[in-house]
Amino acid sequence: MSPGMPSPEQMMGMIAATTEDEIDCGQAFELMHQYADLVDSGQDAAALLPTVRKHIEICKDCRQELEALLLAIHAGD
Amino acid sequence: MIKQSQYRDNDTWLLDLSASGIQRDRALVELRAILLSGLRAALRGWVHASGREFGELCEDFVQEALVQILDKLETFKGLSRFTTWAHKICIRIALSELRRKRWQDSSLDEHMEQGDTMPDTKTPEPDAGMQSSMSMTWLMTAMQEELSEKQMAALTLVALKGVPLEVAAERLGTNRNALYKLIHDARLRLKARMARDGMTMGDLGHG
Ligand SMILES: [Zn+2]
Repeated sequence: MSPGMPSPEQMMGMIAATTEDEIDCGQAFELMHQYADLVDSGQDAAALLPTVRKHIEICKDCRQELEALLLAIHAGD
Repeated sequence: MIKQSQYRDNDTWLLDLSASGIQRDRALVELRAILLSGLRAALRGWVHASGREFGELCEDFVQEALVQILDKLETFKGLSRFTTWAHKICIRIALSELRRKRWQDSSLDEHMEQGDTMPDTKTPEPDAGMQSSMSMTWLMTAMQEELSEKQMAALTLVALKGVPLEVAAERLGTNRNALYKLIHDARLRLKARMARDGMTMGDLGHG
């Protein structure tokens, strides 16, 4: 097995957390800059854009992109 | 309020980048510098951030980003700082390419071979407890009985093996969005199965 492989319990936690109304990566991308600026300005991004919050909890790729985006923003602050 | 930390405000960026001649050139030079400094900071955890190669790599990504940004200028709705939107496009380009490079040499095909699409149910990890082995057995059975072949392959690559969506999508002949939806549907099926089997997160013996 791969070193970073999730445990069966983690997998089942992910399955249990699944909801019908999840947005996909494209929809998350459309809101990502807005989400990042909210985080960057200390606002409650998760409450204001809950669908994005939920997506980045599930989607590793989008989460990495948000983290990188926040680093990029900070470089210019 | 969203703070505008750069010299230009959103309207000025749009005006200048849509202009011609020196007005546009100046804005482009400024935007390039902002994107480059942002990208260098963002990629530190991704590539060995020293030497000429790193600089050249970043400049290539920024160049491609500028083309896309100018192309999509009209789609910017002003819901963030303009530079945040621009950084977002630049980062998507960079990470897509870096992920592809990183996984290029790894033998994904091995993961895709018949019989190796999932961990072996008969030999759980030596240090895995009873709970874990029961969960594993349930998971493997549910996956085999509930999922299509394509869903199984997608979930295995992305959720179990940690392969990036774009890389896995390419291997499976689809795209990132469609792959996310495919996996989402697989998770919904497995969640329904959990309910039918009367499994709750409490059964899994952890918070
Ligand atoms: Zn995503």
